[in-house]
Amino acid sequence: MQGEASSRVSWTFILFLVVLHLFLRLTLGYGQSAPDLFAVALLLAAREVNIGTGSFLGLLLGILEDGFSVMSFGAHAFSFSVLGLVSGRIRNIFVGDSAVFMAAYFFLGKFLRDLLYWLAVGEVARDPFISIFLPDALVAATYVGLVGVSVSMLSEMTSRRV
Amino acid sequence: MYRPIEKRERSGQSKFFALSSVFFSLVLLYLPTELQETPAYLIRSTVLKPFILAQEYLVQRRVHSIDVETLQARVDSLLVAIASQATLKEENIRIKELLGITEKMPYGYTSSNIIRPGTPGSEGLFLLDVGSRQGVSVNAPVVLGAGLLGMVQDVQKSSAVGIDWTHFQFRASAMTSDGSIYGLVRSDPGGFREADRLLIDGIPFHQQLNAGTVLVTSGLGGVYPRGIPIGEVSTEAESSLGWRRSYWVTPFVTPGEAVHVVIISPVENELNYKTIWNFGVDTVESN
Repeated sequence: MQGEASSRVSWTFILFLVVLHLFLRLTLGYGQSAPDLFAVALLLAAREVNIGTGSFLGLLLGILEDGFSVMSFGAHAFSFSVLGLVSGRIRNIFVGDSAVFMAAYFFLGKFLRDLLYWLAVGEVARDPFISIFLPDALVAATYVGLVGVSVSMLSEMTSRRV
Repeated sequence: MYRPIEKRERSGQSKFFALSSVFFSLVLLYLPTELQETPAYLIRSTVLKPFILAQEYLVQRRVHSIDVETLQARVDSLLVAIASQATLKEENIRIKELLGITEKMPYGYTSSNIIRPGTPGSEGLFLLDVGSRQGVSVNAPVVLGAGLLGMVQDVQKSSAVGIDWTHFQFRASAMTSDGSIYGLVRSDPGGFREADRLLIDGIPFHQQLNAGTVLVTSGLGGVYPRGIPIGEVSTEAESSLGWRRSYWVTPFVTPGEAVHVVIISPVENELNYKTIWNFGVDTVESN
């Protein structure tokens, strides 16, 4: 099962998600209205690579996101690199093609990323826990869960066509 | 050509690499704030530059696409205002001469488009497409037509980063438009971003502000020049304690509406403190 899954995403597709994330959030200015495709890209890639590569990819994505963090540079890098490490460790739990499993994987991944970011950003710059996580983070995680499932299906279809 | 990501299993090396990545991210996180700005600027000026330039282009297109009729209406309004105040400047100069008051400090103006990063952690921040080459300096106030939007926080050669009044670091020394009551205006975060509002604090208990009172910058903090409109008082804050009063303030400028702004900075070449206050002139001449 795992070997089969390893042929379902390519670096080109990951790069496409990264560029799309920056295009939607930065260039078009959609901000939080656009899904966190960095998280989707990292969670997708982490299922295919070892934890070292996953964590390093998370570090790179986090540094990119940190480009606009004046007060908390490194908070995104920390949350993404830990997410890359953790998702690489727990990927065997979320095996199979079930959409429910995949949605849960993306949901938990995004929620963990927001939680780690909230912890790392520091008391001065962060909002109270309740106002961030109820319901903002839950909605964002659900959003990423739905988009993540769609993206992974799209990735699978693309790989079959090619 | 489709190239799948290869799966490799070298457990020990992989774990070391993963922990090194996390450690490096912690190093970045705990760098002093002054050192953090350099890598952030490098990322903005390299990898993120194409996306920022594309957003600048889109913002400029949006500014240019404002309806001509709207612009004409604004020009007409300005002309009416200028025509009705044509004699005021002359009267002002004459009265100042009679009273022996000198000209106030000159300020320079630079216009800029605003770019919103839209990434987590950049709430209350915006990018400006002008920098030190255009005379923008750190702490320079950023204003919109109706009043104060925020201030410049970091300046590069051709770009700058600013904060608006929703940012948690925003503070402005304020006073009523007649200069009788002073306080400190700060941002108060709401349950969600759209509910952010301003609070004026430090009003002595024996003084009271009525709803609708206009607040302007007092110039006391040394950052904002005196007289920039901030907002109007709405209600007294429930959280006011002790011998001070606090009031909620409805700002004149909503950050979301800011597309094109003006940055105010002192014109250094024209600043001559001796002529402003006339101190030391007599001493120098007598010697």
